[in-house]
Amino acid sequence: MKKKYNFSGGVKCLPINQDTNKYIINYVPYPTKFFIYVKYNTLKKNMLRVKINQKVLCGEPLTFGDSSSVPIHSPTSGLIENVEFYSKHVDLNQENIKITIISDHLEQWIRLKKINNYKLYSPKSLIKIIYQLGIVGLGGAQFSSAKKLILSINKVHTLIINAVESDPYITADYSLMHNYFNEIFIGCEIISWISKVEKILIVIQEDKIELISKIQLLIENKKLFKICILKKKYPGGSSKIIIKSLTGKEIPNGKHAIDIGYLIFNISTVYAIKRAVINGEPLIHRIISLYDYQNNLSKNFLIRIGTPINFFLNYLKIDNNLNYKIYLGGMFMKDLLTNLNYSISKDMNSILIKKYKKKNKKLINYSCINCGYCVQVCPINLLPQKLYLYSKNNNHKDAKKSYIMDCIECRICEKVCPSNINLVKYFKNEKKQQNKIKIEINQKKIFFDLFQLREKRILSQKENIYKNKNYFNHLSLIESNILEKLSTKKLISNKEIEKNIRKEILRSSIKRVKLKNKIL
Amino acid sequence: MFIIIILVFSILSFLLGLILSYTDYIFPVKTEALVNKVNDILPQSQCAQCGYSGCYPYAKAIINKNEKINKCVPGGDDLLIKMSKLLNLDKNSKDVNNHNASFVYTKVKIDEINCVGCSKCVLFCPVDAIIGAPNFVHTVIQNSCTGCNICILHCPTNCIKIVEE
Ligand code: SF4
Ligand code: SF4
Ligand code: SF4
Ligand code: SF4
Repeated sequence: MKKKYNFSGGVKCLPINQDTNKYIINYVPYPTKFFIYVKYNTLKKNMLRVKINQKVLCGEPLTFGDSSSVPIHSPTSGLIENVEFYSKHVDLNQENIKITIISDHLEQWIRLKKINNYKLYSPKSLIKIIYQLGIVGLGGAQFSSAKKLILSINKVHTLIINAVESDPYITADYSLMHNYFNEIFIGCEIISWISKVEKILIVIQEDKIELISKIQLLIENKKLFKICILKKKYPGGSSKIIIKSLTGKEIPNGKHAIDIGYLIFNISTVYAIKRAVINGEPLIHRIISLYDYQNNLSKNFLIRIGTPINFFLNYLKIDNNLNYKIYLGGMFMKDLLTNLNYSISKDMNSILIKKYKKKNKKLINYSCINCGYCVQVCPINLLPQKLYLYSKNNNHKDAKKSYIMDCIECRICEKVCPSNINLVKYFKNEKKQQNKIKIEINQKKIFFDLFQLREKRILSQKENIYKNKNYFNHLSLIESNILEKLSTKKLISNKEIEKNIRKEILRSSIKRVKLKNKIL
Repeated sequence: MFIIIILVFSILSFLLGLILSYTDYIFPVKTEALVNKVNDILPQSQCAQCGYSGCYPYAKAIINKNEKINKCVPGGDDLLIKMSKLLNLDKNSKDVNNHNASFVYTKVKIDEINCVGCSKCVLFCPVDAIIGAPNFVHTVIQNSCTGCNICILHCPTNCIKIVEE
């Protein structure tokens, strides 16, 4: 057998029984109403392309993208019912735009532009296609794939295909590979053609034996491809960990994998890129795995983006009463879902359903006893107990020095901590603070620069006036021309007239405001 | 005799000059760096409440002219403590005069219906955050407004409003 790659830290997880029907992709009927959430930033506006009561076709773009966000496409043909502001279920501070689309169940697509031989196109135009069809990283980061590709040109030598599930109980990527491996293969070739890599590494976990042998048969006589087998451990899906375990190199703080020559793509992103380039399909569906603790409903579903979770659960006959708790994300990185009208979005890869258990006794959070268990398991070699101390005491400087921004929030340290400290909760808070401090420092710099520019401008203005004054005085002394004097007088009177007009306007406006105030 | 005296003194002064320049080279005066350090911890809202035209001139005055460190209103007590730590001063309880003044970045917005285009606010904005030509509607560039509220005092029609960020 081949060499197995490993990384320090992490926890081994129990293998779960491998039902074969788990890897079949199931289909969900289309709901009548789709909710699409668009991230809304005041600085970078996602410009809307549609109006209320407008008819849209399936695959029609709803927004214009910009340099950091890609267009979002309509998942159905129908009518735009409503466009409104809406805050996200987790972070209430983050404003989103919610677009409601009523489906007409006709499935009228826009005309798709198919490409048979992608090699006839230049990499730039292929990247443009990828951008316009709204492909983002489906592993969870939602980073625009087109941007990644643009950045990677002439910089990377290796393409890493990430087929490692970030969570032990998610099987979405596996089922995708099981069913569509040929298409993923083409996707790899497209990416390698765009960014001209020398090697393609497919990273997969050791327990997918059937799949590994299948891939090995396929890539036998292809020089470019290589398969890497990673030990089955949690967490493994993060790009930082994969690169560390494959190459031993660490991504420097604040940099990207591209900067050290590795381009890394999730397997479902590769699939989406293939569908976009060859079939011309925009990204409007994705595979989601449902993991159910008790009912053994665990399956993978191909689902349209924008399907409300409520509809999905109803279809599965899971009554959403208080007996269940529904989380987004896997066993470890879970977020409690509070709004069942929230819909499937591009960065979601699993839904977790758990039976609600009434806790008999409250778990007590003891203070840290410096046992060091958390340090041993952290997969990126941070010191959680130190970070915890710093973030608890608002010691932002030292927290930053201990690389808190590198924490991937995998929650392992929390799981092993014998004192039941909610470490990640502290880290999340501290990260938010760090971001705030960063923004403030940037702002300060901008303000200072602006202030200095203004000082300079005023100084030069003063100098100019001074010079000109001397110059005019000089003139008037040497050539005392009557005509010139007259013309300047005329100018002055013109200026005065203007001044008077302005004063008049001002007076009237002040009156107006006063009147207004009185009325109010 | 006369020539010798002149020679001796000229050589002496030359040597002394050498020594002086050498010491200056070894122990450079670091006021500029200190000014920058002080300037970094000032809030940079350029509000001129300290009596100087902006934060940088105030920082300069603190270092060069022994100005008091308690004059920045938006900075508040926090700034005082930071500054005394930086400059190694004993924190005097007398210095703490502005309690609970905490610094919040707010922005202002011009109510465009009432703006008459007098362009008075433009003249006084310390960071050039307001743009507009005389007799036309003016507007505030939100990204560069520090929230110092100087412009509010100078607007004749009271059309500048504070927006909480
Ligand atoms: S949550 Fe952060 S600190 Fe804790 S183990 Fe994971 S990466 Fe390390
Ligand atoms: S595992 Fe918990 S108690 Fe032990 S050192 Fe880490 S934070 Fe402290
Ligand atoms: S009072 Fe205003 S101008 Fe003076 S230092 Fe403080 S913020 Fe800057
Ligand atoms: S626009 Fe007004 S509040 Fe904003 S920085 Fe300029 S003068 Fe200050």
